Amino acid sequence: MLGLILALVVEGRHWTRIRWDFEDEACGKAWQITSIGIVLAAVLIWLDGSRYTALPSLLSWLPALIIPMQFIQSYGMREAMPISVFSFLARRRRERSRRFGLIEETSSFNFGNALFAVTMVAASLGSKSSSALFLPGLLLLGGWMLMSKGHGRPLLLVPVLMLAGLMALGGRYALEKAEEWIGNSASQMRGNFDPNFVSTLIGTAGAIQQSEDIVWRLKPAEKSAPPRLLRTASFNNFLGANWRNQRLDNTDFTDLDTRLIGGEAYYLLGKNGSAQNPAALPHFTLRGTAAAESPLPLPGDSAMLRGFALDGVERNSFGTVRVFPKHPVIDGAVFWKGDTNPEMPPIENEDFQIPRSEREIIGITLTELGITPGRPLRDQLAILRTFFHRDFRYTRELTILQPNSRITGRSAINRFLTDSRAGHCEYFATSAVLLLRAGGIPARYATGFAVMERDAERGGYVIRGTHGHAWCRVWDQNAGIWIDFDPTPPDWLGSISHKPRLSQRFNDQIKRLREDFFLWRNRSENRIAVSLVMFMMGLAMTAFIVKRLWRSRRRVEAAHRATGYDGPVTRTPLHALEPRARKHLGERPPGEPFARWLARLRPVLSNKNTLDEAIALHQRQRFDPKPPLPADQERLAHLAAELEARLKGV
Amino acid sequence: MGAAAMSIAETSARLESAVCSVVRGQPEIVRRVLACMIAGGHVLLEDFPGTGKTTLAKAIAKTIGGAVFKRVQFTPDLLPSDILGISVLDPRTQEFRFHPGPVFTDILLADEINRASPRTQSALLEAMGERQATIEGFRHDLDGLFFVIATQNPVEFRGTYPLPEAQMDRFMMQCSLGYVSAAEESAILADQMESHPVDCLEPVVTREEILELMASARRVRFSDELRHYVVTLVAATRGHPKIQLAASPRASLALMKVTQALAVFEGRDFVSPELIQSVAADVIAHRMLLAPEAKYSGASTRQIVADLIENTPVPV
Repeated sequence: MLGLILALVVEGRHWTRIRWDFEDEACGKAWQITSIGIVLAAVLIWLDGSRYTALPSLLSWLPALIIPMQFIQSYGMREAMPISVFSFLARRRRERSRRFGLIEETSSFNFGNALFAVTMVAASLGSKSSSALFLPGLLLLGGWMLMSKGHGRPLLLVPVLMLAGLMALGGRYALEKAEEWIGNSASQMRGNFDPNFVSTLIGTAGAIQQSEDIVWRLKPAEKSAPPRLLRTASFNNFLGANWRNQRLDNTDFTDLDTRLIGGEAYYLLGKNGSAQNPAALPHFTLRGTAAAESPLPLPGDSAMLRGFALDGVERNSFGTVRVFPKHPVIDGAVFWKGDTNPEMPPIENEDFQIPRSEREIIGITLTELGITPGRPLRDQLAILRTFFHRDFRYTRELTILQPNSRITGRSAINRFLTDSRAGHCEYFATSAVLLLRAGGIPARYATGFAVMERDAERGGYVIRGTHGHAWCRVWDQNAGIWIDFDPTPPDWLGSISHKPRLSQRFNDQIKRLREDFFLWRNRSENRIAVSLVMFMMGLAMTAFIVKRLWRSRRRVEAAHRATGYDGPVTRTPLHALEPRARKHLGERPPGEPFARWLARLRPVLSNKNTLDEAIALHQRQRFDPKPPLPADQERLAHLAAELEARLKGV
Repeated sequence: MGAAAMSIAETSARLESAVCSVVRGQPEIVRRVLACMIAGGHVLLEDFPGTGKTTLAKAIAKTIGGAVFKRVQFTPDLLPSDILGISVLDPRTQEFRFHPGPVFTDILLADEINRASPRTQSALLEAMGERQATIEGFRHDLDGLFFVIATQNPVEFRGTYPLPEAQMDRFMMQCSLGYVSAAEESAILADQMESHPVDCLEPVVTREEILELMASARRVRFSDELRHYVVTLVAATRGHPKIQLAASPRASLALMKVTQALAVFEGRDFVSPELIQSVAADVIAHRMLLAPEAKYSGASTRQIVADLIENTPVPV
């Protein structure tokens, strides 16, 4: 659609005779409009949150953005733009030379070529570029352009087109590779979420690095406390330093149903899909940036979702809830403290497994703690909590190294439980899960966020990357639900909560503003208003520009028509040569004398004397008021016929 | 081609080649300046110092046998009588005797014409336009061959009086020599190793032959259609949005005369549209005044004329 308008702008100049005499100033203004448009588009694309596809999408919009420049050139009286329009330095130089009266050669360039190049790039970046029609289309276009430029040699065109085709294929391949590479690095940067696998820092040394950026914002309903832990996923199989979900894959996810309660749609998170009275449940709002398949951080006993603008919600049997948002920023209410879990009950063997390398130390520790299998859950949790809170220390400086050989060395968990007794949440959660399992209680490793930072200015809570946490999900056989158990000493909260740096606060502010703006814009009632306002503004601006252009238009019709001379006009046999010459030379500009135009045929013809003689005779017969000699007329007719024949052969 | 035509072509070629042997690398300009002389006009050379304006004037004067060459260096204190001449009381006869000024010549080089006061400038103006000088109420006719080559420097503005538009209109052409190529410049150096080539220049044509050339230029045929083209071209400057003061009918007249003279140098007895286009800017541009907006946006009258040529349909 846009391409069609653009093509109309470019080609329309051949149909209408309206032209403007654009000054340098007008060119400068058009360039300003174009630049402002490009900057605006860049900002909008950036706001839209596509950080890695920003450049390609900007490039694909570029042909539309440079319409003003193309318009100036297509409908102006000049064929090319002076370079001083674009360059401040060139402008300065020109001003100086004007002041001193120096003669200056202004270099100029044809904007059409730039437009063509940009359009080609944009077309190859577009979504249709991988279709089978694209390449032949491109070749056809290129060939047509070459033909129309007057290099009418079909045989020469074949190798040129083939070369162009090969280059296009190569370029296309390179582009795909680049896209792949960009996509890869982008997904790595985003830390692509895998609901069935998580690697831990167990056994590696160094300080923990986490982003301080705000990922979610949470606001509890009035007078209710926020949940302490928000889980994104849980895992049941520990191997090496990684947690994974045994025998589960992505197909495990099932779509969640919606239920209308009191006129509003709720997503039911509970494993049985039973609805509960939302009025009886506490709730909080959750706001953040999400992509397709992003996991939603939810309390362990979350029951329902309301108000998120989603295409769908999925949940797996481990209770991981992932969303398919309609817009990059989502916002909605989460109802929790329900009487059920999103998770399915434990799986027989899998939720009791302890890796062979850890079995010995887990057994020893269990004996030390005096836990025997079969002790009530409450007792076991109390003992473990005391054990970890009293005897262990939380640290973000990791020192335990996983030995190279698991047979000889002691494992990282072993060293954590015996001599080091210091680590971060992943150590605590992993050890606790293994100890609980050894004590006969199904337990899982849960990852997510701790809700800990109050947003004093705006109310509610913010969740940053640094608030990422790991804990245990423990199966309560009596209640038939999974409950959270966090073995990490509570002082860990203190170790990471400090006042954010100024730059971080600035980033937070930007992020908040961006997200809030997006939410506001994406609300259906605002959406209409925004597009209406944008439309009106665009219309007003277009009207303004069109009005000013209309006032300053000039018809070049008179110039293109005949001179207005109505006296007798002699025609010579050479005039009949014009259509054939046009094939070689293109259209004759109205101001170019016929003889000079024809003389450009010289490189094409092998015998130049014929042409020169014919032109001289034509000039005499045409412009000498004295009646021509019959001999000269015959001679010219003969020469014209000869030239005609020769041009046919070329 | 008759014998008379042959001798005309030969004379013009002789004159041109003699001047070109001194003024190196500028055959186009030399031909235009000579055409201007043959057409009975005057030329204004606007150029940087040292580009050969004086040499050109001198060379033209020297190649014409029996032609008188005079040079006036214009200064702010130059008086009209310094140009036209003055009557002095002869104590012996008790009568005023007229001492003719430098204007009574064949070829006059008015150097840096914009340095003189407007009063002095306009004294020259009458002489140029009417080919006569009125001094103390008496009319003095100037010679049939009266050719003024005026020069002005485009760089300096201080202490100058820009020529009024009316006076600019009196010049048939304004052109600039410009700088020559490096090769030409080194040829100039080689020429002047021992002596200035102008000094060695011998007259190649007589004054009578020049007058004959002038007469033959007037006989060069000019078709109705091209006359219409010239008028269209000049008329296009009127009402042009960038032009405050457009070209007068005098411009059309000059364009016709110059192209007729140029045809003589081309050895032709009729005018073709290419000739008109080649000198149109030199003949028309200096007579026009730019509109203020156009002036400050960097337009020039020459450029406007070039645009008009490009967009005005030419007879084919």
